[in-house]
Amino acid sequence: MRELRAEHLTKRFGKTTALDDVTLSFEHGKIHALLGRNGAGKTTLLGIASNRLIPTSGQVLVDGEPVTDNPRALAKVFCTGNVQMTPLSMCVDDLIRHMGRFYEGFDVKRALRLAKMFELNMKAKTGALSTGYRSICQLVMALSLDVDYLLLDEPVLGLDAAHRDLFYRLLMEDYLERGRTVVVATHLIEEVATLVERVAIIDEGRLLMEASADELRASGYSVSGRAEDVRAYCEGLKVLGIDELGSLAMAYVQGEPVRERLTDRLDVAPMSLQKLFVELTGKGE
Amino acid sequence: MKLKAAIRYQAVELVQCAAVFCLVIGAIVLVVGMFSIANEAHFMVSAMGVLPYVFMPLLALSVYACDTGFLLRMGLTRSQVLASTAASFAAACLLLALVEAACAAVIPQWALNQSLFLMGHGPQNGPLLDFLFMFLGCAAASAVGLAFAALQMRFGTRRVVLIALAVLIVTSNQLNPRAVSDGWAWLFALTPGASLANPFVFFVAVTALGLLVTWAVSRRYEVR
Amino acid sequence: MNIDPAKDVPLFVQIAEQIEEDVFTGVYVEEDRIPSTNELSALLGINPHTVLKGMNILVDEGIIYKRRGMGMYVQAGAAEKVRAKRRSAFDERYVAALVAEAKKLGLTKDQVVNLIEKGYDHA
Repeated sequence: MRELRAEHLTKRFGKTTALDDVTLSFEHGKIHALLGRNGAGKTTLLGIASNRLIPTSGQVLVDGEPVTDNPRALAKVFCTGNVQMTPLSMCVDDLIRHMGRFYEGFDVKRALRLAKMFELNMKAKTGALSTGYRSICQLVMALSLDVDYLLLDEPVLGLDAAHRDLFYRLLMEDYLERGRTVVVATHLIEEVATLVERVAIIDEGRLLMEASADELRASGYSVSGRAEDVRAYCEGLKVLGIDELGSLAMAYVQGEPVRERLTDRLDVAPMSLQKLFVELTGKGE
Repeated sequence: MKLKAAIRYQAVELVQCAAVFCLVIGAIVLVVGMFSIANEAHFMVSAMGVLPYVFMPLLALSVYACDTGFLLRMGLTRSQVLASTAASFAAACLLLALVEAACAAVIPQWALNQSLFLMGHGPQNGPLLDFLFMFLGCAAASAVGLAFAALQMRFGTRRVVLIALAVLIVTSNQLNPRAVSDGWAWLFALTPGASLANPFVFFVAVTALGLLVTWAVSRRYEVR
Repeated sequence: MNIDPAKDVPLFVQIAEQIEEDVFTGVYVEEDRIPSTNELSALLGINPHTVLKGMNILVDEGIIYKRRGMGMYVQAGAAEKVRAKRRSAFDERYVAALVAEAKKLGLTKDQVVNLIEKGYDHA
């Protein structure tokens, strides 16, 4: 089976548990969103998948092979992110040259063209780039590679609106051309909502939900009205959260609206992915 | 492909550093030599041959962490990183040894004033053994440097330096300085009766040990 | 095309609706080639599988069809089909909602009919 798969993946850093027995699969040939708040474990998961980190227990499999220190599996994966791993004094054009040597199928011309589109300074040192350009530099490398699995950790961190647009467009073009697997780890859900086919949500190191983007979108709704009406409606349902404002209330409910319980005095509205995500992951706040 | 690219990347970097180092040393020797001739004074820098053994570990300390991160980023496994590092340091050591042997063969003063091995054992041992001594010596020094770099990456600079200092102080207090210097002399075959093979065996052992420690410590290295 | 991910209608349904609308209003006439999945996907920044899902609704309804290796084309009589479909949906989609809102507002049947007549005269 062609997939990138985490199996009972656990990672501890000293006393903190970053990933706690996570099992999930990113099927080949699809764009996946890996959603989670800061510190949810997204970067740790991708770090293990790219051999930057070593799992405490469990494993990540690429097309059935464990990825950790396995050259064959590693040749299929590339992960971008905010961890500085290139020598600070290495220039962008040197990095591009080296990429061509380390990765079979790296398209140097494409990298140069993309860099130009993003106005990335070729002579700049990778260690001296701003956050936005550091992201861009990595995205340029990623989009010029021929690997099967692209893992993009917060790809638009620090990018302005125009560059973000450009990146999403290029990513879509790349995907249409090659049909490879892309995993976008982010907390900006609405931005990737139309782009992705599957969504996995992790929170506090655990997998919360794995679904298609459409399923996820239809998996929650909001009910608003007078507080007592809302509370009566919610009786026995899976309520993610309730906002109360004086005598009014708005409840976020998982599942389908219950037609029999709806009255004229209650308003049902769809829940945006963003809101659903906040309610799903915002417990205890 | 990746291992080849990695060796190319690291070896070029290290050999360049070693070449610059040779040029700097050469310039110093030359300038001081000319100065002493001009002044008719017998003023000489001697035993510059010791510097490579200082230079290589420093080089190891300064590049290992950075290179490891970069190579892991480029999709190499940890064993490939160590293999590439070892091969590249070997290349740099090779350069230094070649330069040393060439100097010993060409410059008449070299054997008497600069080369550690020939100064200790006499010029009759020739450039070949001098070459081997320098190569293995630098390799051993590099391996020790790499081991320290790996320990530093794993446990943090402060802990490694403190523990190393503590070990050094304790052992130097415990051991009889006389015995230590005798031991060193025996290891380097400077005492009569000691085999000339001793230093070579010693260097090989230190290299192996250093690489072993490096491997053991950085086998599960992570970039956080 | 205007696709809004924040709407409660799933994206693929929105895509189907939009193409259907274009067929209905004559943007695409019979036997016209409509943009391919990939073209729409690149244009709108929407996952091609989602676009395809929307297209497949229209294929099932006989509004568009696939020519092997050529792309998607508007079926003969597609506009008529859409019109018929919309007519039959008119009741559920507009009348039911109108009546419900009218009842909430306490409007009588006659008042509503009056308003509709007035609306017709103005349009």
